[in-house]
Amino acid sequence: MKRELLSKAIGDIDESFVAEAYRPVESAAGSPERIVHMKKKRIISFALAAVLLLALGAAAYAVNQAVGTPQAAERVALQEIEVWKQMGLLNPEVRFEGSASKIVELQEEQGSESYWYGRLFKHHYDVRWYLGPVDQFWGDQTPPPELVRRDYGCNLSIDTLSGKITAATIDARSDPNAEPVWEDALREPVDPENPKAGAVEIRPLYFYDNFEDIFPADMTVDRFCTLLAEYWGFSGYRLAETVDGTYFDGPREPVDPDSPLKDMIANPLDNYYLTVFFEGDQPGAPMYIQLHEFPGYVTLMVGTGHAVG
Amino acid sequence: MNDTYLGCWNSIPPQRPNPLIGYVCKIARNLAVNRYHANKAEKRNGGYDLVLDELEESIPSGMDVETEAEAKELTGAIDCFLLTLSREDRFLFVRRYFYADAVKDLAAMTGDSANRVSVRLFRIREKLKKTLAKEGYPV
Repeated sequence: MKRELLSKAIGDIDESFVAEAYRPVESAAGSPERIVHMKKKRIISFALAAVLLLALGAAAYAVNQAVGTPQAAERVALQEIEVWKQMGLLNPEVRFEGSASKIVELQEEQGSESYWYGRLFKHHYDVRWYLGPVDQFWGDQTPPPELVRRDYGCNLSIDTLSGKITAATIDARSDPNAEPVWEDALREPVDPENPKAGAVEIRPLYFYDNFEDIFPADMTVDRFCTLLAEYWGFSGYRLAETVDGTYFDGPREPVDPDSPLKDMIANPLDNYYLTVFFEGDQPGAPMYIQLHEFPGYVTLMVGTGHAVG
Repeated sequence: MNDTYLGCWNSIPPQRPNPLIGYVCKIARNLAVNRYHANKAEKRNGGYDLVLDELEESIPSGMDVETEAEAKELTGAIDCFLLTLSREDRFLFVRRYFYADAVKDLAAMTGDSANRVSVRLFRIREKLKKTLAKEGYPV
């Protein structure tokens, strides 16, 4: 393809489009009024969070003192999710119905320096409520009845000593009647023995961005990290920068902490996530925050259960 | 800039452009691009070449733009495609691929984060590719 001709092709588009784009699209996202409003909301939110933490702290600490059984881990997991909701980390609608799908106990383990930055993974339970069947993958088939269908799913790591959530993956099923933001296709190889033979499209896959079903729509990076720091008892946080050498799959430029959290979507061009150092956490071992859109559901991932950097 | 004014002066009439601003921008842009190609024939310019690289990925591999006629055909297809976009998406596409604005500048204009802008542009390009494929251009 001749690049000059490609350049000419785009250069000859209809003048009405050129004129329309001559002035920036009005957006309230960065207006001074919104920034002031957000700062006021942040002050009020922090004050409320502080009051709630004080009120809940004593009772929560007594209950979470020891998580010695899978049943206790399940109970504590649900209690801590309520704490997250009351703090404003999560949408009040988040809920995990029925009994946990699976509970796994993991012993203390030291992560490698090269992969996990030497993080010590303490004794914890992973408590899971599966989202259940996603219609787009089942098509005309009926999933077996034992697969419980939920509006929300999760995998929560519960520290057995503190009773805190140390890592969380939270899924929210998307509304199939909503406008998709992205479309791809489910494909099947023409010849499973020969990948080069190509693939045929089975049916379309629709992606949505209903992250407001997981966390408040006006949540910012700063507010989310600040609330997480408060929950974990850390004194603050710092977003990773390029000088930390932990930019492997991170943003190419420093992130504005006032950016909407929902904008930190995994970029299709690179496996994008936020790398965050919490002050008071294990030195040199960051945590991460990542958003993903999958066909039929969205996911928020927080904590240590992922290679960071 | 003088070249732009001269270009307008020489073409109006017989051209009667409406909207005028779009016509003037096109002349200015095309003159700049022509000069860019003349001066940088043997070098690659990071900014504008990156814009063309992105756009080239959206053109189905079986669709060759080797002649003026094919370029014109692609222009027509892009015009039709732009009509299907929301105003915000159309703004992003035209600012990026006609005006060659940097992603961070687009983010500043729209109030979105740079990452959100690059994700939106990626999705628009994929939509363009699928649209061209559906219209019979081989993928």
